[in-house]
Amino acid sequence: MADVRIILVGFGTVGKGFLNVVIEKKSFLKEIYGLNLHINAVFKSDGGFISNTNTGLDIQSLLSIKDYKEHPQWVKDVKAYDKIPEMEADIVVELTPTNIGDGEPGLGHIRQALKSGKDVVTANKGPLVVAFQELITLAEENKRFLHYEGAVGGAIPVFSLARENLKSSKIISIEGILNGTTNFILSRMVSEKIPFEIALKEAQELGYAERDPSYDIDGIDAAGKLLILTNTILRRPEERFVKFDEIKIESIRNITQEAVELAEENNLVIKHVASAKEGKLEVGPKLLPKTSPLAVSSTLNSITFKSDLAGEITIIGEGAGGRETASAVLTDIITIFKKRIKTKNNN
Amino acid sequence: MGSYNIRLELELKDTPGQLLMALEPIARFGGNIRGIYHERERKEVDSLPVVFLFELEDLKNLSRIKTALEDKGIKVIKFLKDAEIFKKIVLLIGHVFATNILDTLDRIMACGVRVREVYAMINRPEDPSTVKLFIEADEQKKLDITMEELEKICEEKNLMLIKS
Repeated sequence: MADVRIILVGFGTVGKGFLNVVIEKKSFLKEIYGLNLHINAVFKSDGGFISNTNTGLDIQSLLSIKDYKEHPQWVKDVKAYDKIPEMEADIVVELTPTNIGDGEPGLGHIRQALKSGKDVVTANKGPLVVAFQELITLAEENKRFLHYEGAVGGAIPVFSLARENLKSSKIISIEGILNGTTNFILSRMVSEKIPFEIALKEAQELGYAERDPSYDIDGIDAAGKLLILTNTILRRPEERFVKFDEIKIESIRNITQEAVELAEENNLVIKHVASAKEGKLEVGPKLLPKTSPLAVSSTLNSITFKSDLAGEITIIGEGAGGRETASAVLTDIITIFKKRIKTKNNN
Repeated sequence: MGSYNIRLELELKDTPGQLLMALEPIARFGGNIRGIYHERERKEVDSLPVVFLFELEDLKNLSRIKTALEDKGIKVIKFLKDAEIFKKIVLLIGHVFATNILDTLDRIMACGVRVREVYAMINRPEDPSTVKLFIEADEQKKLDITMEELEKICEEKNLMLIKS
């Protein structure tokens, strides 16, 4: 049995989703993988829960307490940034909110973790968009793993499919619907014949879109994901890393109901498609045949890899949600630990 | 991938149900029917020639269609195929008319392509309109050049371009 000591940074929807999944999968992880996960600390922006035992925090008590500040392990004003280097842990799970502007606070947390010899699992796009090259280099220099399956496509195993299962193929291009909110809006415009504004309002009422929806509908979120996909999967070792401002981004704001109708007459649908093809990086509305595997409905995401040997492969799944993203985070933890055990055995 | 315009001439018996029987293999193998006409002036006693015009993406299916028709006892008199055609549907959203649609179409056609059909949905003058264009070319390269030109036009005229 291997003990995995975890520091969790971020106690929002995804962070709590992850803790719930850790409880739910406790015996499964022990029986199948021989892993015993201990959550040694959980940090929020205004403090943290820090375990004073070797077995980690009682997760159930964290999730059920009404006022977290009343929790016996709560330490006010303590910062993850300061505590990560000091604490003993194997993996830092970074799940703070995405900030594509400067990548903070996640970027600082990931730097601290890698520098202090801890592996990192994150679903936070911000640090990867802002400092992809720096973080990859930092992980390599410190011989640490940096995994981020949950950052793109939520539960969909995008990176492991490309990395593990398509090893013999060279991936030539990537195309996908990478944002569930825009896909929900466009799907409703088709199915309910409603204008953009109404579909957006509906998405906001259902909690799929934020009050300020620009991050989703203007393509910023999808572009961030496209950058991570391109740098991870398409970039050859000798090539440079692409940057965010190289992506041509177009919003879905101005799509008219008439455009949706005119497309439908020819069995086409308008989708917000992110594509990396022949050196061009774009996020914008595109006409797809209704029968295209990419043309998924509602909040689903889809990604097509085009490769030299395997041809086109499309994967579809829920691109967001606490539980779905938590599944990707947990898979990353298992992957890292399997690799660590293998390295240990080889030595 | 482009598609081909096919002209298929069949000899059908002058009895009910023959036309449907002939259409079935064409549809099954991906033919998109553009027109059907009888040549009554060439009618024999119990049969008449019928011409089917259709588009086909995969040319390999043409021999499959012929075989399937012959298996049904239908005589194929002759077939003709045009050169490959490359097509694209695009949508333009914005003040497409106020920004001189004729100039837009001229500039598209100057790239060596044909604009086969234009559909427009127009609201109040102050609202954006939506226009659908069917563009055809005999070479993929000409379509690619057209798309680059359209991107320029749309940027200049502040229109949204949605490509297929």
